[in-house]
Amino acid sequence: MSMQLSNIYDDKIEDAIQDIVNILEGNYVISKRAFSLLLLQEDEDALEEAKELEGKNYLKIINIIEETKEEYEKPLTFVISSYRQKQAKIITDSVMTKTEGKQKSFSETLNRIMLNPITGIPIALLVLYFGLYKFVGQFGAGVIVDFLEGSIFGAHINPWIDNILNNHIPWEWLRTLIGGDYGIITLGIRYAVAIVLPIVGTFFFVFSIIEDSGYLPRLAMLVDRLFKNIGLNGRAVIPMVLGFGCDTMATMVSRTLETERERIISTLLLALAIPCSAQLGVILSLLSGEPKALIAWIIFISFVFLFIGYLAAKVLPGEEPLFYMEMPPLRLPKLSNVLVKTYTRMEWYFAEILPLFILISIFIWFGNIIGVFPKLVGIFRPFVVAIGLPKEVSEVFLFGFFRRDYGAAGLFDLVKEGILSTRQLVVAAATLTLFVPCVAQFVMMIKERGFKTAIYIAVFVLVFSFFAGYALNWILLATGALA
Amino acid sequence: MKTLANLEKGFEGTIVEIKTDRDDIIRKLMAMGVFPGSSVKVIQTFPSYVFQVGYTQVAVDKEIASTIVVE
Repeated sequence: MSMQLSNIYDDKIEDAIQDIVNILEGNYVISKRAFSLLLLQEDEDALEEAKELEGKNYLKIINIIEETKEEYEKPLTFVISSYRQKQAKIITDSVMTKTEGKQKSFSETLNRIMLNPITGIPIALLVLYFGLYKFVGQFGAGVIVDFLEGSIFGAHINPWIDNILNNHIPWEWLRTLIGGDYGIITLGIRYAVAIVLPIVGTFFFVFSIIEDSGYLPRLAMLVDRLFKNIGLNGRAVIPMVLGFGCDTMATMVSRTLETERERIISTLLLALAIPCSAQLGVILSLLSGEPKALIAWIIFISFVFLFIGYLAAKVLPGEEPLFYMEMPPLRLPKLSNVLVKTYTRMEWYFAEILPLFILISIFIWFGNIIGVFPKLVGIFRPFVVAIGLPKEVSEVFLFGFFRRDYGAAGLFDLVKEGILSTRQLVVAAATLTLFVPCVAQFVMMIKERGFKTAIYIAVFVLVFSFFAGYALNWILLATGALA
Repeated sequence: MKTLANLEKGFEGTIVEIKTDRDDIIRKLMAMGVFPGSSVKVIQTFPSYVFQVGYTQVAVDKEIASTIVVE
């Protein structure tokens, strides 16, 4: 270790280092020079250690640090890092040669296309369409769920459980707790294993591919300007995109945002205006037969997303978010990495979600016993009628809270019976999308944002969804857009 | 004074200064290796600012871009 390390910094800093080195008496794991540099940068652990080992001299050291700090406008850690950066450049320049390739590589071209908004936005829409709609919505929520739910649980496991219960359990309360329509196994576990797992599994698969390709920072860059208007920065695109998979998971991921303000706004928007894959699957298939209805729904939900985000950003105190992100080079994802990631996430997610679903089926079981559901449906009825929907839709809303897709699936039955007009279908689909999140998401909101905030958000969403449904119905009636 | 926020796409130069008294911005730029003396190339200016510093590509918003003084 004979490398000459002095003279990297300017005289003032070198002097300060020397002064501190002369004072230091304690025994440190690193050299006194390195330790002095840490102290100058006000490293918390180093300060703590010096306070302990240097006794009276500690104050002298603090004095030197303060005096040195006053010499510079910028934090010392920045000044010191700047000198190091220069030194690093001198070293690399002396040993590295950069050859300029004549041809632009394919990944470089792709990078430009993705960054340019004119080509980047259509690409983003294509990624969402194929990744979310085709793969997660139609393959995951359609093909796999149909197989697991219909052929495995519906045809084999549920009848088998019910059979055992009916033959061996004499108590009705225990039979309905475990089996039947809302039992722990027949509803809770079936829901977690046969519906949620394939949907989030396919979603995680797509998400891991997008993540490993390095596409997310580029998407974040594209939406940053838009997101600034709703009090978020481009980084929030990650929980928002995740929300299209599962809002519960996305609410959990919103903890990665930097400020509490951003976390609250994104939790609110996820609860209100981001439909999860289970909902999306059903709503898209309901509305796809009526292109005008589908467009009306998309416009309305996007409007609510931006409008409420804008208002929330105005109302909530706190600083405007900053956006900064390193853009890793684009890479072709490795299948083995994607599979390992998908598997680990599914495993972790399943452990989080399974207890919740068991809890939910116990709730429903209990609610049925005390007969609270007909009363709740009764409470919803006048509101449902007020937004121009037939009263049968009330039940759909109640079940929507327990199972987001179940609510939407309930609409499906009503459409088949021919009860809803196109206008009513759009109003119902929009209100249901906005309506309170499923119970799992609500529990996650409490866990992540605290009880008070979660309740505020839930009450707001409940009131606002009916208000918005009322307004939408009125607009559609007044303009005759879907007549 | 030229900052990254008022440059054209394709500009190549050197970072002279990070002009801000906000420690959080300085720390963020530091973390991404953006220092005075680094060479810089502007890749894009809309909807956000993307530039190359050394071997790294970085995206920032207007607020941060306007603190990076270049020549």
